[in-house]
Amino acid sequence: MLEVHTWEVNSNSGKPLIFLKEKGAEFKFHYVDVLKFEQHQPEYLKLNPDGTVPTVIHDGKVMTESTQALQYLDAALPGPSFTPDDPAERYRMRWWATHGAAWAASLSVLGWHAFMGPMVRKMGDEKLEELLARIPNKQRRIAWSTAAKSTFTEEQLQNARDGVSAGVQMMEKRLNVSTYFAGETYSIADMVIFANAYALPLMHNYAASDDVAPRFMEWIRRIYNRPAIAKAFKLGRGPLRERAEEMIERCKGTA
Amino acid sequence: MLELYHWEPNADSLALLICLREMNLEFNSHYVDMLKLEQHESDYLEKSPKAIVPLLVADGEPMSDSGFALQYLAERYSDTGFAPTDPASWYDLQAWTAWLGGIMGLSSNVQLLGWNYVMLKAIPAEELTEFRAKVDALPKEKLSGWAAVWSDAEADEDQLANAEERVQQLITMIESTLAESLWIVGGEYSVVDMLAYAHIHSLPELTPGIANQKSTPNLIDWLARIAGRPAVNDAFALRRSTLAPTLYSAPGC
Repeated sequence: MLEVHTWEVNSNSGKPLIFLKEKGAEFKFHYVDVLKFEQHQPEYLKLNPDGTVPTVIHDGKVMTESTQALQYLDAALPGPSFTPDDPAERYRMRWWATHGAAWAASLSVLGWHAFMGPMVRKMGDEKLEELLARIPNKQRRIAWSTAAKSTFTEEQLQNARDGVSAGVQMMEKRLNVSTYFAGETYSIADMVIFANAYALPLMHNYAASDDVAPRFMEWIRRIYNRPAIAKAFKLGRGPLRERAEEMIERCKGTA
Repeated sequence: MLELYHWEPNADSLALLICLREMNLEFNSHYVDMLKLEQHESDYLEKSPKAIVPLLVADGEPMSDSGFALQYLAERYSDTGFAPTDPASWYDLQAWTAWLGGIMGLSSNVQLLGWNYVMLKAIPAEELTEFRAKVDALPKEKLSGWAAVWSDAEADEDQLANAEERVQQLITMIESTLAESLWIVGGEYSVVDMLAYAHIHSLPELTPGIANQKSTPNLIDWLARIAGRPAVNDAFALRRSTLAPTLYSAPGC
């Protein structure tokens, strides 16, 4: 029995959805509405006391570290493998899945400022404060509060844009050397990075365009053309799904 | 041949040294003196552009992430038996590696405490002034991770309190795991015990309020079990520094 409690095909939430569509595995999908802070509700916290998404449960094994959960699922489930056999390539897969997506912290600042912040503030200050107060972990409570209220300075926003640009350039350099992040085969590292990077050409084209990052753009088009990606995005609801479907249309037949 | 660039047997350097000794693997040891900031010299930066120590070079691949380098060794030399083979225990090993490392993890916080509580007192004032002048002269972007914090002054009270709180949380997690099992994952000694030991072994002296016989008896027993292993003894034999011999911790590993 495989159950996935998660939100949209976006960042950490998206990793198991993309992976399981690639693997061709059946699973029960429980939609956790992050914009309603459902991940901090008592029922969810019983499952995952840190209140993070996703939570993956396979035959009673509860997993909250998403990149590591994908490696578990790759070994435990039948179907095609997305982990290289060579130990050095595995090192590279793990390195890229962790450090190669570190720029997503900058992207998250911009995402909260432009999109998530305005969405959650629609619920009104009082309700928002009440939901923020429920967040179990102090560091996370502070981070969510800053994000939800979008109290970022212009300097912080510019640093975040610079962080995204630097991240794309780091990936560009790697993709000049190999077709995919771990080597010549598509792996978990590509799925993890794609879950964070999929909207960059639409939302942050100062960092991600054919002019400034041609290899990165080739890579992202190649991934958008994978049938499993379209299947994964169909699990989403609302604006994140719409913008991904716009990208799928744009990338059709281009890779 | 494996190449290991490391500093004193402590923190990530210790974890890799223990692992190589436990697996009985031959390697070339290259000592990088972090208090002389040798990791910022150009020939080292060619190998490890972010000045990260330690660095394992294996199969031609420079590996600057010690947690993943340990996993590499466990898989590459799987016949040595220092990692579980079932996917569920392997997940636990990977999750613990993530919890122990990283900016929010145990290692950076223990380093912050070690530097402030011990090293700043152990290093002669003159050398410390010289060290700080050298750090200040480095370009900011070359200072990886926490080195930026240490470049101008000691940590303030808030930073130290936060670091202690974080260390306390992780030690509580480890203590409750060790109350159920002799080792951190899969019921057997593995690379994740080596990694955790390398970051925790100094805590009974560094933060006796957090790690002690009364509140963390299982952790204390586990430390003693690992300290008694010949490979650990061999790793410690590579010590060169005479500063605070059991407690050194460098800025910005």
